[in-house]
Amino acid sequence: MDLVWNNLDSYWKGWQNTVLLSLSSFAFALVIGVLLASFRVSPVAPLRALATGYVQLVRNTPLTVHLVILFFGLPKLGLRWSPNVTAIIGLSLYTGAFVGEVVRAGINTVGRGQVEAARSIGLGFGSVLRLVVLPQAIRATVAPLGSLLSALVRNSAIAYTISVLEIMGRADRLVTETARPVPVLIGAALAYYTITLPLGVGINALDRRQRILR
Amino acid sequence: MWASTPSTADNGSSDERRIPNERRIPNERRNTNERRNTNEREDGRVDDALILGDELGPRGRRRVQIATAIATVLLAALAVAVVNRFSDKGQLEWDRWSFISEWSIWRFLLRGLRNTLTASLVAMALALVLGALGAAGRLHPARGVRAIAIVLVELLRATPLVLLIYFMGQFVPRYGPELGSYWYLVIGLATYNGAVIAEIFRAGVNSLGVGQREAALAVGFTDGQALRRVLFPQAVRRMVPALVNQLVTLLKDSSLGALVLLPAVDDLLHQGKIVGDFRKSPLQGLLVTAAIYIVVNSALSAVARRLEQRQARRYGRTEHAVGPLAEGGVGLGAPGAIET
Repeated sequence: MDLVWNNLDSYWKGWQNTVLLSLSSFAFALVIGVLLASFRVSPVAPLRALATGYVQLVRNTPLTVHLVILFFGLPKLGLRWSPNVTAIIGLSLYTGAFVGEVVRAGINTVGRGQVEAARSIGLGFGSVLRLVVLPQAIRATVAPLGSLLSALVRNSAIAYTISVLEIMGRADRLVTETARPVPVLIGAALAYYTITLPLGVGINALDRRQRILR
Repeated sequence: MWASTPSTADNGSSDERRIPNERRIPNERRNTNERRNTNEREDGRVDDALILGDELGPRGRRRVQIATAIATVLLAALAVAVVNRFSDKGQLEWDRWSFISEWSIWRFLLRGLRNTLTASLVAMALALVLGALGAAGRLHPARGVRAIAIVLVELLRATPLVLLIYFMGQFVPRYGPELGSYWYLVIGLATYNGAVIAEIFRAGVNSLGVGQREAALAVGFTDGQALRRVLFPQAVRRMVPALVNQLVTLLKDSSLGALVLLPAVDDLLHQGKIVGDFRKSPLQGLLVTAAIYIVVNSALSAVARRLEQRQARRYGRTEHAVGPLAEGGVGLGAPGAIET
């Protein structure tokens, strides 16, 4: 374990990059997901088709394939970014599809009766959405979105395969340098635990506090 | 429903009918689950659109038509831009795509697909066994056993799968037999998914309610017998859709073997990359590879959806029926690892 202590600064740099990748990708994924979900419930047929197609295609392709296409394929179309940016694009596009599903499921948890009741006491479209549907829908998405964030943190480790230096990338380097993979990788796992375990606890607590008991 | 099918409107309270009382999800789980199918039609499908307004009037319909026209034009423009980009960069030339007409290339790719499928199925089989053990541990009457099972399951689920596969690739040959990359991949996938499946099983058992276990104990079953003979058989049946969804995830994750391990596992992704490099058309090789993944996974997802609809009709919705995203077995780590 000396190995981990001696290379703490390397882990720390990787840790920072993992957090950066995860948070920025999650922000973009939220935007993409909300757009997708609103397209899917919209009355405009082409937008519905677009969102459905996107979710189907993206969800059924491994994240590895997305990253490899972005990193090795798209330069052939003249689209080239740094490894970090490529990873953020890939993680956002991929997670966005899942966020879209979560938001849509959240909207679907609000019963039809609620909407009918709101309509019958005279609320218009905007008010129904703002006062009745969204407050309930958003609460229903907290737990699944939290697990998506946790999954995103763990998925960001895949970015090391396109030479991003986050925790996993740093660990990969250390393995090559020290030729002692087991302690190095255990150190990397511990680094991830400092993110994923508190995240899980926090999400549970948050979810318990704001969940609507029906 | 926006502009169509007013006939579904009488469906509002059907969830009350469909879930008999004793099937209701007990205690902590009886929150969001019961109401989930309010937008469900008779055939078990869930409507995408919620009625946020009444049937559209003439003005509303007009606006939707205009929006549809604009969206169509924009999407067409996008498609044209993409195609232009491909042709500008010479990526549409037949030379770069000709490999898709060659049987030997397909044979090469399908061999990769076969490895992907066998690795996934073997890993899934092992994961089911580990998952059953893990769930039994977490439901064990002895506190010590429970604690160990919880720690193991939660730690595994909180570990990035890449890291676990990488670790197996280094650890197993060093301290155990040299099995080859294929098996390190399988072992990594199986341990991680074993933990995930343990949670799926546990959620399934919890969704049965305490009555089943109490009844089994009352007729003289031991705890183990109650679990094996009464609780698990029911839980597994309920959780089949969640398990199929997990298989889709596992199948996608198996592509990590092509990138993380040395020598690379010659699965679909690896073969696709080789075809692309060999024919000097990496983009095309990868796009074809992605298309194969999409076909296989869509088929599996469709099966999962069919099963979910059947379960929804049979039991009402359990938390996993909406897809592994909903609720999941919320533990310390991340519920329902749908991703990667």
